[in-house]
Formats: sequence, C-alpha cells, structure tokens
Amino acid sequence: MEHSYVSQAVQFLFAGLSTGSIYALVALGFNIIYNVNLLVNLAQGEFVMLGALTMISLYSRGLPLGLAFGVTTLVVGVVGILFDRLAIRPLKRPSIMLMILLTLGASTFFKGLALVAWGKDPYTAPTFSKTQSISVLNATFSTQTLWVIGTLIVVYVLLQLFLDRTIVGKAMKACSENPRAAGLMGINVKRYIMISFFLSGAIGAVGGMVVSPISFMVYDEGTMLGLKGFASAVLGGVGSYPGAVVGGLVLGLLESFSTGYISSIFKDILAFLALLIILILKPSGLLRRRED
Amino acid sequence: MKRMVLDPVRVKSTLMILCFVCFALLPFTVNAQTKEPIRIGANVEVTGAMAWLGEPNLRSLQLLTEDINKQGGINGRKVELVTYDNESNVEKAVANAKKLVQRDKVVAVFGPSTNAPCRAVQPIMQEAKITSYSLSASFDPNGKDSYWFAVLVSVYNNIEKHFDWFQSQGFTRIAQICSTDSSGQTWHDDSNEIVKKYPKMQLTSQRFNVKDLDVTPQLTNLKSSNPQAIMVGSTGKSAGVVIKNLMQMGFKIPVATGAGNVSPSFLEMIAGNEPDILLLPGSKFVVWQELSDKDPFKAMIRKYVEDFKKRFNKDPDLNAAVGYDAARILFEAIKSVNPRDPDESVKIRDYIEKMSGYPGVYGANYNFSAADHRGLNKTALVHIQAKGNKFSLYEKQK
Amino acid sequence: MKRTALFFILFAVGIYLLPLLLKGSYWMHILVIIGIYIIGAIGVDLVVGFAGQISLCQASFFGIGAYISAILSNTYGFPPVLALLIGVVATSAIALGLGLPVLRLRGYYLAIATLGFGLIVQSIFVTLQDITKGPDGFRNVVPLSIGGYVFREVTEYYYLVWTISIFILLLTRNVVSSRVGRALLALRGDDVAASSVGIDITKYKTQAFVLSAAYASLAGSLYAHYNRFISPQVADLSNSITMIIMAVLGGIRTVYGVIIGAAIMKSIPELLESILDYQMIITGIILVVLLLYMPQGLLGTAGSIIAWARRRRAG
Repeated sequence: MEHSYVSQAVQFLFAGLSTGSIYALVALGFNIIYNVNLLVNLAQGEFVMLGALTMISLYSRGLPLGLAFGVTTLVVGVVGILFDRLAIRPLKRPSIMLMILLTLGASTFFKGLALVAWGKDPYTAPTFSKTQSISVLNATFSTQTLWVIGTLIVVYVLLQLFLDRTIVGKAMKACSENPRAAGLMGINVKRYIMISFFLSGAIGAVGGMVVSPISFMVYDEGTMLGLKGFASAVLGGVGSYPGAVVGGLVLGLLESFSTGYISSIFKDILAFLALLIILILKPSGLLRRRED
Repeated sequence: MKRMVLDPVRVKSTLMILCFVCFALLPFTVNAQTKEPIRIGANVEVTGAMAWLGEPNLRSLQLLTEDINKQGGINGRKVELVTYDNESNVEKAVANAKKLVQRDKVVAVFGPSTNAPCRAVQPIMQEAKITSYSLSASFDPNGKDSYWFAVLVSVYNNIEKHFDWFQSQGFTRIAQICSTDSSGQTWHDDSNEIVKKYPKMQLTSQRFNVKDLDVTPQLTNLKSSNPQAIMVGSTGKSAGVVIKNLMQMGFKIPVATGAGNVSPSFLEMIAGNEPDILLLPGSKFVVWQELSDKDPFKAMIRKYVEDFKKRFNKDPDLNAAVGYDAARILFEAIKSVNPRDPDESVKIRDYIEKMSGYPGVYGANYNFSAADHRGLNKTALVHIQAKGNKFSLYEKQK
Repeated sequence: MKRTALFFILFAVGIYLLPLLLKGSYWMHILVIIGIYIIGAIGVDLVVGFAGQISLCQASFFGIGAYISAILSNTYGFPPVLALLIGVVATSAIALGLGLPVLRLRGYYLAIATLGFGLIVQSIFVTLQDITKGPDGFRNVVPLSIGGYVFREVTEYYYLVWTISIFILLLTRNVVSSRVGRALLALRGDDVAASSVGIDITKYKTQAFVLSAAYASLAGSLYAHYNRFISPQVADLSNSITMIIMAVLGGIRTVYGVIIGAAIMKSIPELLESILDYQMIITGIILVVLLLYMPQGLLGTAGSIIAWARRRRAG
C-alpha cells in the first residue's frame, strides 16, 4: 500500500466534502423555512432520518431504488406539510420561545415515531452506482461520495432556478421578503408557507437518502445532523442559500481534517464551538432583517 | 390579568392532585411476595445497538426456563423470569438493576450482555450480594468476594490467539482500530499489553467513536504504517462501519476481530464487503457440524440446536449458546442450593465456584474457582473465519 | 397569603408522612427522583417562565454538578457536602461566564447558544475519560454523608431530598415575589420597556440564569450521590427538554406547578412500562399539545378556569 501526504489529504478532503454536503443540504432546508416563516425548524434533522429510513424500507419491499427515492421525497415533503398544518399553524400567538419548544417537541415526536416503526437498528442502503469504490491519487473512497456531492450541486442549482425563474419560486421569495406586501398583491401567503415546508422536507429527505449507502441511519441520528446543519446555516449566514452550502462544506471539512490530523475527539464539539464563538462575536449581524 | 403568585386555590389543586397521584400509585407498592417460585432477573440488551448480543442470550434463558418449568420447575418450584430491557444503555441498565434488587427481589440476575452496562451495574449487584452472570467477553468478573460470573473466553485470551496466528504468519506490523467505549477500551488496553510479549511485533492504534459514520481518516492514518494485518476492536454496527470503510479504501490485509461479532447479524452487515481473510475467535459450537462424531460435545450441541430451532424457528448463534450455558450453570447451582430469598444468593455464588468439568454447549468444559469466574481459557478457542456469508473453521484451510 | 401557607404546610406534612404508607418500597425511589428533579425544573421555570429566556442547557448544569460531586468525592476524597457546595459555586461561575455574553442575544440565537453549550458540555464528559470515566459512566459514587452520618437507605435520602426541595420551592416563591422578581415578570423579555423605566433587565436575567444553574447543580449533586452512578447522559438535551416539560406541564410561573410536572414526567415511564416503546411519541405529543392548547399548564389552566368561574359568579 503506497502512502503519501497527498493521498492522505485527498482522503480527508473527500470525506469532508461528503459529510459537508449533507450538512449543507440540511442547512438549505432550514433556510427555506426560515426565509418564508422566520422560524427555525429544530426538527429539520428528522426529515433527513425519515427520508433515509423510508427509502430503505420501500427498497427492501421490492421497489426499485430510483422509484423508492422519488416516492420518499414526496412522502417526506408531505410530512413537512402536515408538520406545518398540525404543529405550526395552530399557534395563536407565536413567540420565539414557543416555536423553539414546539419544533423540539415535534422532533421528539418524529424520533418516537421512527423508533416504533424501525426500532433502534441501524439500516443501510446499496450504493446508487454499480461500482463500489474509486481511487483518486491513491485515495480510495466510495462512489456514493460523488453522488452526495453531485446531489448537493444539483439541488442547489435547481433551488436557485426555482426561486429566480419560476413564478411559484418568485412568489415564495416575495413572501419571504415582505409577507404583508405579498399578501396585498394577492399572493396566498399560506400556500407558499406550505410549499416551503414541502421543499424543506423533500430536500432533507434527499440528503438522508443519498448518504444512507455510505453510513448507517438510526432513529435518533437526525438530532445531531439537524443541529450541525443549523450550525452550518448560521456559519454561512442564516437565510443565505450560498451561505448554507459554504457553511456546510466548511464544517464538514473542518471535522474531517481535525479528525485525521489531530483526533476524533473534537469532531462533534467543533461545530458548536465555532457557532458559539460566532454568536458571541457577531450577535445580530448574521440575521437578515425583514422589511416589515 | 394573569395572577402570577400564589393563589390558595392553586395550592389546593396541587395538593389534591398530588394526593391523587400518590394514592393511584399505591397499588403498585404492594409487592406480592410469595416465597415459592424462584425469581430470576434478566437485565438484557433486548433492543438498541447491542440487541444482536442480548436478544439471543435471552432467548436461550427463556428456552431453558420453559423446559425446566414443563418438568415441574427446580425442586418443584417454578422459575419466574423477571425480564427488563436495558436498551443497550447504561443508565437504563442501572435503573433496571435497582428495580430487580429493590422491587422484584430476585435471587440471581442474568446479564447484561455487554461490558459498559455490566460495569455500571456491578457495584449495585455486588452491594446487594446478588449472584449475577454477565454475558460479555470483555467484562472482568474476577475480584475479591465477587458475585459476578461471565461467559466466553476473555478478550485478553482472544487477542492472544490472534497474535499467536500473526506470529505464525511471520507478521511484524499490526494495526488496530478500537472504539472508545468500554469494550473497545478493553481491546485497546489488552492489545497494547499483549504486544509486549511479542518483541518483534509493532502495534499502531487508532480510536473512533461508536457513533461515527465514517472512519476513513483514522484508517488513512493506519495505512501509513503499512500494516500486515488489522484488528477491529469493536462489536456490532461500529465494526460493520469499519469493515465497510476498509473495503472501500482497498485494504487487502487479513482482518481480525472479537467473539462478540460471531453472529449472523454481523455477517449480514458485512455482506458484499467481505475481506479476503476475516478471523474471529470461535469455539466448537460455531463449527459443530464440522466436528467428528466422536467429539464429546457434538451430541449435546446438536440437541440444543434442534430444541432452539424448534422453539424459535431459527438457528442459535454463539451468543445464544453462551446464554444457554450461563442459564444452565445458574439453574444447576440453584437446584443444589434451593435459595429461599435474596439473602441466600451468596450460596449460589459459592456453589458455582466449586463447579468443574461442567460441559457447555460452547464446546468446552467449565472449570470455576474462587479466582476464576469465567471457567474457560485460551484452549477453548478455535479460529474461525467469516466467508461466503457463513462461519467456518479456519485452521483447516491452512 | 395565610391560606397559601396553610395548604403548603399540609402538603409538606403529607410528604413527610408518606413513607409510613410506602414503607421503603420502590415508589420511594421514584419519589426521591421526583424531589431531585423538582429542584432542577423550578430553575427552568425561573429562567424560561419568569425571565422569559430560552435555556436549553439546564441538564448541562445538572451534569456539571453531578460530575463535580462524583469526581471530587471519589477521586479526591472530598467530603460530599463540600464537593456539592464547590459544585454549586463552580456551576454558578460557569453560568455567569456563559450568561454574560449570551443573554444579550435574542430569541433563536440564545436558544442555539445554550443548545451548543449543552452539547459541548456533554462532549467534554464523554471525552475527558480519564477524569469522568467517559460514556460508560462513573460508577460507585460515594454515598452522601453529613458530618459522620452516611446516607444509605432510600428513606434517608427521601427526607433529605424533599426537605431541600421544599426549601428551594419556598425560596423561589420569595424570589419571585420580591421586587426583582416582579420587575422581571412585568418586563418579561421587553428590554425597551425595561430601559425606559430605568431597570437593567440584563442584570436580572443573568441573576435568574445563574440561580437556576445553581439549583440544577444542587440537584445534580444529590442525584450523583443518591443514584451512585452517573453518565454523560444526565447532561443530554432530552433531559433539558424533560425539565422544560415539567415546568410547562405543571404551569409556568406557578412555582408549585413543577411538583405536578415532575411527578407526572417521572411516573409515566414507571406506569407505562408495557408501552415503553411509545414513550417518546407520547412525550413529543404532550409537549406539542401543551404548547398549542394549554400553554399555562395544568395548574395554570386550573387556576384560570377557577378565576373565570369566580368572575361569572360575581356577575
């Protein structure tokens, strides 16, 4: 086995990009809901988990992988909508405190649901392509890594196109920038809120599905993913889509390189340490203000 | 205008509700203590990350209990199993242990099945003086006045067996990756001690968190020392993750791991990612069909396998087998000692310590003593390999 | 106020007499746990209910108190009471250090900061294995002893814990009806109104936060010595959420509501043993339903209903 510093670095690079892409996808989902609702959905990670487990279940029941992927995306999107209808909309006097506790409660509920449906066992999926691994500069990794990174790029591009070029997307953007004005212009704000939840759920699910072949998904995996995804969103600037991608990738790379060159001890803390530092140094500057 | 501080009505409501809650709970305080049945506790990983170890252990206990009760029980007394799932979680294991001791007043406890919960629960059972049988290979049951016993050959012996093989192959550079939990820690510490006995060998180590989904950074580091074999000091899903990464990274060297992974769930987990040579420390039980008909254990193992299959519709794995042995040993001691209440649990412990030459479905004889609460040593081990989705004797192929 | 005192005395007497009925049974153990969590949960009520701050790290302070107690008593041989006091002081200092920069933040950022802090603390407990014994927990924590008297039996801990718990409840009641408390309440979260009246609300918020952390540390230390075993799990987010639910379920800002909240939250796992698997779903639903339809909690809603009935009667 040959070894060089280059191949080691390349190994860490791809591992970091892979994990980082998942964080970025979670962060994108956060931002969609945040932009339209000014709500931070602490149950976002659960969409990732539900996506992975649902797809794995469908696949194990005989559905071809591609179909399972599509169906799951729709299903979890709908779960997002239900979440909005049942847990968010009924709130009469929304306050930040209530919203946080509410989404935490929802997160607990989803975990409990997954626990009953899938138990505590870890599940994994087959890689999307037939070849299992590839080698670059003597660093070997799973082909799924490329799928993960590729998915992030595709989702991001599609999202931007959606928001900039389609009527639905532009209407949603209007809602997020100024809901009152949007309402006055005849836009059904409630509908776009619903769409934002659908999208958020769908994107989260996509993240979960695309990473499931490289790792194992368990019922409570969502929490940490959600929190790190949120950290990524904050790092990149809450509400900013390019920021979400940058934040996620940076976090993933930080984790991978620190694990490789120092030790795995800091992996989980890193995200939150960085978050705490940024929050303390720049408390209000990260928030995009809404013109109301 | 909301009232913020104390309103007598609210206090009254509190009081009333609290009283109601207390009275509603009262029925549960009645502990119907009948001295006749023999109450045995089970504190096992039925669900959670280690369910694949705990669940088969428990099934064997249940099988034996049913059989014995069908024949009238032990000394005419029915065996009553009080089973709690510790969910592969130390906090739960501790809570369960307290329940078994304080509420259910059992005379002996079966389980837990893994190191960390056993260690957590150890002081509690020790203080309560209740004989306990651990199902973990890395848990050390020995000690002054210990009430604990354990199945399987110790991890220390397992690693020695691997090292003997490494030496026989002329290897000098070994790598290992161990999880940071108790069982991984035990593996890590024991290996580092054992390698000193093989002066020509070097051992490089990396650690990882059982929750990690990807250990390629650690494996990359190990790759740089150019090892000739690699040991995976972890059990279950985490071992699966490591082996997956090993194959993805193109490692071609032999892989060795611990007895806890001798289970069909492990085979399922590595399906499609099997290393060329994957060695595990097994026993005669695992390869019983390959044994000669004259082997003293074959008949006994065959009967057990058939009974288990009839009852549970699947083959018992190594974890089920050792669970069966632990249960048989406990029941044997209870039969002779006939304990009437938990205070007499010490007699069970004392009896087991005197047992020797006791045959087990593990495929070896158990020889206990005050100093040896496992009853087995390295000679009971047999190298097996995982290949083609099953386990088979490795020595044969050499 | 006299009637309040009377009812509370009745309650306290009930608590003291209960052991005679339960006679050292398993439920005494549950009641000790309830008593311990009341101390932690009332801290949450102080911060979330009275000061209007979102703290998601109460369990971290609980854990810090627990670990300091365990480490100082076991590894360094400190008398447990001294370790407990050091724990309270240290935790308060940490809370102050965290609170000063973080309580300036608004809404989500505060929540996430406390969340992040919680995860870091738990990570530290897991990682510094040499001191904390890592994820598999710290076992064999020495039992609590005061002077030469060693607490061993459940009954002994019961009386100790409930005495402390009742004292803390009374103390809190005094704090919230003091000038500081009433100021905090009236200006809950509204910094602009506060500064216009000349009140430094950040100072009061910080005080509430630190006091709450001290409570949590006390509860954690008691838990460590009583349970004789702790693991990083005691500092888990789910534990913080549980204490929040206790405060909200009982009735936020009712002070005594946490008794009901703690009693219910710690009894559910015992009573619903057979449907253990569904506990998480139930917990999630309880929280969501509570927040949407009964934000005042049990005691609060009962109080509102009674007040409404009174008004109707009065015409």
